[in-house]
Amino acid sequence: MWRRCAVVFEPADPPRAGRLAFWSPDGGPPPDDVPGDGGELTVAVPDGAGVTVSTVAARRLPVGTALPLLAEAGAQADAHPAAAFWSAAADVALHLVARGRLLPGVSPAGFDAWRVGPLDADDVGRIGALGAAMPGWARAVPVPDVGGVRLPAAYPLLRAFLDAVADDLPRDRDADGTAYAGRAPRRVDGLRDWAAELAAGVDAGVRVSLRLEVPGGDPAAGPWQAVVQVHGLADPGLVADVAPVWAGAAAGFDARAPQDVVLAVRRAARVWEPLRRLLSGPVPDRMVLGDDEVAELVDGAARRLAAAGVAVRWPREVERDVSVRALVGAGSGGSGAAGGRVFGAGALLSFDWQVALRGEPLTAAELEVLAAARRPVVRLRDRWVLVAPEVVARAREGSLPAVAAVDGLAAVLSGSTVVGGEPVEVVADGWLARLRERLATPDSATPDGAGPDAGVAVPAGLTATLRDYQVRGLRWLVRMTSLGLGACLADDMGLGKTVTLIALHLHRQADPATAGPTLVVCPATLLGNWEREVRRFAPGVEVSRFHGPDRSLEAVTGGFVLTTYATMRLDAARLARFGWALVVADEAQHVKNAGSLSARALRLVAGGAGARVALTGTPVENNLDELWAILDWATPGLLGPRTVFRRRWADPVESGDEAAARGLARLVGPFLLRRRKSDPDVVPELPAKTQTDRPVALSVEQVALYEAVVREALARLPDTAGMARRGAVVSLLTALKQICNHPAQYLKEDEPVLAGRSGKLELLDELVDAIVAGGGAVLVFTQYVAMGRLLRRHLRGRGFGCELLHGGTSLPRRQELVDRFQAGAVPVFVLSLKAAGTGLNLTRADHVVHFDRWWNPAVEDQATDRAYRIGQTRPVQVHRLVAEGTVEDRIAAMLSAKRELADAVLHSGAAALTELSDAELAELVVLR
Amino acid sequence: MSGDRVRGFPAFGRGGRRVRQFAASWWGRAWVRAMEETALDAEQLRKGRRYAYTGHVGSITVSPGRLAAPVYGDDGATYTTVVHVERLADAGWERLADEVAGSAGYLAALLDGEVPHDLVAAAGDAGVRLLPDLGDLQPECDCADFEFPCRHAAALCYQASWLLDADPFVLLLLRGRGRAELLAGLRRRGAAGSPATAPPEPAADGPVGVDAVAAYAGGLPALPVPPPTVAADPAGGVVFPAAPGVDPEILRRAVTAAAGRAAALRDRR
Repeated sequence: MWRRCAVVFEPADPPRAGRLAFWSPDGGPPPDDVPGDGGELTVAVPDGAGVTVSTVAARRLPVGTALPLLAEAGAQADAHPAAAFWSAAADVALHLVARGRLLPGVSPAGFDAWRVGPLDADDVGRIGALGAAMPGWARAVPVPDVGGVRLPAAYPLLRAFLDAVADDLPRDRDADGTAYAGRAPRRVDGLRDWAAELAAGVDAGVRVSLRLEVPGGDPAAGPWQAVVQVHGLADPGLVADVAPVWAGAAAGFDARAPQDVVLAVRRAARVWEPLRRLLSGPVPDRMVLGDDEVAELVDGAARRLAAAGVAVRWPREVERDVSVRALVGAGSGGSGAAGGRVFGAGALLSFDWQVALRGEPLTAAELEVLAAARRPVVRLRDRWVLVAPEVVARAREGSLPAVAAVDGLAAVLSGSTVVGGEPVEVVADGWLARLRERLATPDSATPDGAGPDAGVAVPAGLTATLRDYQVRGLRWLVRMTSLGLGACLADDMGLGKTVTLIALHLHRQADPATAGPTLVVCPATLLGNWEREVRRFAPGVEVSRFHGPDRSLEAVTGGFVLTTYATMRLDAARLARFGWALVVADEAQHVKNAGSLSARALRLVAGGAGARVALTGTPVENNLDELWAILDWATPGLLGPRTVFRRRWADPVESGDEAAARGLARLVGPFLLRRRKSDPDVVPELPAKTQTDRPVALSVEQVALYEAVVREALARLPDTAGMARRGAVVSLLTALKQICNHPAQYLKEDEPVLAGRSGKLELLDELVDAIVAGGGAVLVFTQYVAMGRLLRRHLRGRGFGCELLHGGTSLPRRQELVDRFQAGAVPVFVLSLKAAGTGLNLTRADHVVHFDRWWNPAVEDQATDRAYRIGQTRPVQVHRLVAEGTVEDRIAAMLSAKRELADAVLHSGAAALTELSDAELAELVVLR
Repeated sequence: MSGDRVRGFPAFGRGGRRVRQFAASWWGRAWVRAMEETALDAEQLRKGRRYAYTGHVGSITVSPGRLAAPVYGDDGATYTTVVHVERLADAGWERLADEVAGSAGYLAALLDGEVPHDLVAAAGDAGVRLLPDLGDLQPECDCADFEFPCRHAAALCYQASWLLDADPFVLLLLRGRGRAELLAGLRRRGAAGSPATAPPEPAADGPVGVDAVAAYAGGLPALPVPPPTVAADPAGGVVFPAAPGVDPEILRRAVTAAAGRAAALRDRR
């Protein structure tokens, strides 16, 4: 077994010609199964207290051939220490080569040679540690022609081996004759300049560092000195003072080193000007530093030098671990944390400087010593301590003006603030520190109900069972609003933000301090949805719309008042005068432009409100301006003025500053709760399929058309019978459904303007915006191909990728469209239901919109199941758009009331409705 | 060091640098001024400037006391144009080297591509004129023009100022010494004039290797922990510049292949 042999490395030139020699440590011949060429080897082996030199039989392998053996040996227990060592060395070499750490050069004999490099600090440490562990057996061949028996020094021999591996592995059998690629040695003397240029600054040349010295080890005694030290790049362990390098007496530094040193010092002087003095004499070896210069170094010059590659080493005699932090809220307002609105308008927090030595805050007496300091070195706690002038200044300053509570909170949460243009670390203690902990963990209550928010129970008046994540959302909202802080609930659409908010309203009614009416501002398309959900989940709670010409607040005593952004703009002052206990901005991305009228009106309206909550289904954290607008409404002042926010956070974050990104995340994290449908703790709670009716109001134009058509038909119907009557009823129903969809569909307009004319289309836009912003995909079903075309045109016009599939689509084209949608090429897919035969698998969709109603729920389900089938990994949400007060709204109720009619409709569709009496028909279609 | 004493620069070619002032550096401007103030005919300077901008000057050869290039005239002929510069005597070089050696900043500036004002002034005080003065540039051209300097010599001088901008050692070469020669001279007087020493061998401070008994006395130290597993990533290295006869692409491929082989070998452990 070769592993039991001792092994030595014999370097060569070119390095790849180096060989490993295997020999038996007992002096006998190596075992027969050891590969390689037989020969002799002179070795020195231990013999009692001395060594004996003898010639033994050996087998030699070129380094390239030996590599696989060495690589496999690993740290096997039966390996000879020398075999184990070279195996470990091979691993270090392979680790370097695998990372591409290879440099081409010219060997001393003039051959094309690769070597390992550049080496980073870890590499250098690893090679150094390995070299220190090289046993005598691994280098047993005595150095020739020296007095006594001497073995090769470990480090150079190890380095030669690493370079031999590096020189072997890039070679290719097929590339013989090509320098640096073929195995045969090639003379490349002409490339020495190129190789030197390539190596310069990479693994040749020098860098300098500064060692600061205090005379006699007493920092108080006399002026300090800066001593230049020279480091070799080729061997980062190589360090020397300047004088021996100049004299040519420093081992490892060549004749070029002084030039490199003066250049390096000159460049360092560009970073810190006083170093220019080093260059005024013949040898840039050391300079005396004034106290002011030491102070400058402490105050940031050393940091700038280090960033420029010039490390500054401080004297061991002085302590430097002095930190200055801003301490927020010490001793103030502790009692207020229990439940009061400590962050309400006008609340202040104290703001003090805290100086710490090795993390321990200084006492008042120590601060006095510091404040009296006239030199950068101060005696504190029996040590000499190096303090920056800035530290002394802050020790003198003591405390800063108190800050607005919300500013202080922002500083504590982000862990930093800016004082006089400089970033300062911020800490809190006492109740504020506890609060930060609490805020930093949104779901602080454990699932079993323990934790600081355990007292928040689901309100009794809520006729819904909240899912666990909704309970967590409720607790979070309660906590934030009870502290006087705003909140932005940004859960994915479909996770139940509305019901959570209704629960919050109910919870607040239990405490007289927070009870009172809640104002919900939302897009007009969502008024109906809010009203239905409040009635459904909080029966008995008043809900009214502040909307339309007869709007009034006079009858409002509590419960929910719903209004739209447009109405709120008109009546902002009136709404602001009303004392809202809670103001909710739904789809709060509508106020993302902080300068808009809506945004300004919303600020005004919420000015005197007890609490504010923003709801949004779009990922606001991706757009920092939007994030600012929403959070600055919810918690005014938290993020600072817009321009300051941009400079301090948005610009750095957008240009990739990760520290800024982390600071911002810490700051906004507590105020923003966003759960995604795909979150692991949300998914299990979601039903695979959720159906939601989305009531929408007709536009003024739709109302006029609808009423005209109904009036005319009802006037004519009593005079018809038989086939004529059936035809009239069917065409009436068709006309009404088309009007509910869009006036342009009913009027068969050629190039219609679509926006602003249909409540359904407005809601669809809201839905598509939110779905696509969250990375989702949606199927939109309509029974009318004409409507499908209008939708496709409209959605494309708004910049969404959209395809349309209908009965006239050819089979190959169908497959192509389906593939495009499934591949994510388009997020919106409009389908005319008659076309959606079997075989369509559209599992990429996580939302389904039924733009118009089907008389037959089974058909609707079949359409929905296009998205919800095998392969679907996400919950599917179904939105049924229902025009309020129209035939669409009433047909469902009528069908469930009249079982036999329902069955008839199930079998024969709308034709069954032709059997209704005139009165029944009127009941069904008249707009309410 | 004769190789150090002749430097060739490829032709600048057409177009490119049109700036208000011809040279960017103060020493380059001093050079241009020395030529312009000698000129008798501003028209020749104007034409020379145009020649310099429009690539009428071929590759320039710089050697001690001499600046030479072929200049292509508007008439289609090629002229051999030379500008002579006075060389410093050996004694002058010694005094200049004394000045440079006395203040490490001078050498640092030169290596950084700058001519320090202080150095020129100090050398001047020691009687060494580094920058050419009025009449120091002596043109010589095989054209038939009588003007002094002719447009060809003027063009050459203008372009030479660009060379000076980029590398002050061109000026020193014109004055008589190459960069390597100068640096070697400085080394000789480095460290307060101590005699030159050959670059030290690592062994200079003791016998080669370590005593064999001591080497074995270390026993069998535990091997350090092996380096972490890494995926082959040839991008960890440096970008190789091209060299005569070496295709950087071949080097890059060799590194990639080596990284793959090394990662595969480590996988077998």
